[in-house]
Amino acid sequence: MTPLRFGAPARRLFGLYQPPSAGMGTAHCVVLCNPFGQEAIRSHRLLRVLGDRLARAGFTVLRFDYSGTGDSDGDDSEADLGRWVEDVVSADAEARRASGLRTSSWFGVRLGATLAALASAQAPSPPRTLVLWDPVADGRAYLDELAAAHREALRIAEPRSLVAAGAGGREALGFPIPGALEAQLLALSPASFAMACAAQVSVISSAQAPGTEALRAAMGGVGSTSETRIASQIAWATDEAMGSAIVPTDALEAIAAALARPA
Amino acid sequence: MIERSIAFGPGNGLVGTICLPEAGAARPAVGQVLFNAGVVHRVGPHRINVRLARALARRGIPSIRFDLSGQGDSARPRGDLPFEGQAVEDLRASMDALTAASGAQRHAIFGFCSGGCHGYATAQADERVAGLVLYDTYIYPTPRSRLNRALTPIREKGVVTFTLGVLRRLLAARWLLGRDPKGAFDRQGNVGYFRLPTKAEFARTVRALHDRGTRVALMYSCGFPAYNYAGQFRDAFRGTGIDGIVSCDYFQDMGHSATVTAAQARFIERLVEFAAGLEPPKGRAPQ
Repeated sequence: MTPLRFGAPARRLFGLYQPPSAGMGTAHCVVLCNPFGQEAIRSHRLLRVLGDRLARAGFTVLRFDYSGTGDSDGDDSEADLGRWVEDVVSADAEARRASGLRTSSWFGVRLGATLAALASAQAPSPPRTLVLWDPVADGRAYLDELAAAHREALRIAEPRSLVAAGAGGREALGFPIPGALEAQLLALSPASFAMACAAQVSVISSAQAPGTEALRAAMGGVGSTSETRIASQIAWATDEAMGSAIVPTDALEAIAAALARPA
Repeated sequence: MIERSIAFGPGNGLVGTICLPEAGAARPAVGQVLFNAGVVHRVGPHRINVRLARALARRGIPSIRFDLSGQGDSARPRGDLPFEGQAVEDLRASMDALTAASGAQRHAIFGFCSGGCHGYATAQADERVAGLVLYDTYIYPTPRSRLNRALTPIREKGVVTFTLGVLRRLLAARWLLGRDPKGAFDRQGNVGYFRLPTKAEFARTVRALHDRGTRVALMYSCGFPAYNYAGQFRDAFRGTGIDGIVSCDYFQDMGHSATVTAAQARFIERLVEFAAGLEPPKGRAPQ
């Protein structure tokens, strides 16, 4: 596994390049897209384990952090969906450049799935397969969920700060939500996915996730679309981090199977 | 500020990011080592380590934030060392890497929660550790903290719950005796797998570190009921001689993982202040 920084000099992104296990190479690289905020912290282990698993299966893998998140350049206050979409495209270019491969597929979880779908419409070479796990397709519901989780986290862990800082405000579970990002999130709907571009799209739904009929209908013209519902129930929006990494085996299997499926 | 992400250590199995002040900054007195908080990868809870690293760089202090073996993006440990021993080796490797990148010869370690246990062990094993922050790591109760804790239910839930709680505690002789707690994130707020040093042990160790030139800072959130007022550490260690040689901060409105961004900012400011106050090695001023 090789850590690297890539992208425009003024906005370097952190990435981890993982070649396939020896003798297992395929003609296919995979870009993994993080969710936002606390969900990215909690799902880091998932993406690490998924990357290892995909590399053992012969894929070249690139994990990365969007601008202003994780180890990448930029401040959290600069959070911007448009910039993150560009970052996905940039990561794809880096994966192809570093591997020398011409075909890539993208996996995203939660807001990362949404970003992958949005970015696929802008990529010079669209991904072969888009795998979207519990994509955020209703921005208002997503923000409401984050706000409720934030209030609950403060009630449990920081009762005094609830009074001092107020339960509202544009932040959720430890991360600011700048006004521009909030507006961008509010605009997200199933229709946002209509412009996605890939030979096939696989939607993976956790047990508690709402139905994806509207989403799949919006992507009706985007190549073959399928859904896999897994048994695991995931509490995405929670402040818990210690000991709460998300690595459900059924999700890993469903993701790997979707990426290996011939287009 | 310049950031470089690297693989380092034995077999290049450790993954981290070096954060350096702008070129031309004075040679730093110390570097800062940041690493995992529990299972959270090197960016820290709510990305605190990244914000801290950049705030430190603005004050001329270089840092490394990295994942211990088997955590975050780092490779699995070799398996020939116990958990604590491996963490000490990893922290030493991170100091080597930071020295190579920045020129800083001595370092401060920020131990977040159980990470403090790793920092505490490393400070004892390696004289390059010039500063040690133990955040929500070791908690020593006092009569007042026990009373505060016992009264919490009456403040929060009323007399009935409080009375039931007292009755329950009356049945727990261990609580009445007030023995030093041991065990994992127990009701006294101890850090699990790790043994809580006895007061005498802790005082002896902190004194030895101080005499060697290592400064120790204790910081506590309001996240553990067992630590519940600003002067608790000083009360617990009054008369031991160390209450005057360590700094102790109590963030009474900040939860354990610092969820509110305003609290994060105050926390980071205090951590920077501590690192910036560390002295250069004796007889050598920073250039």
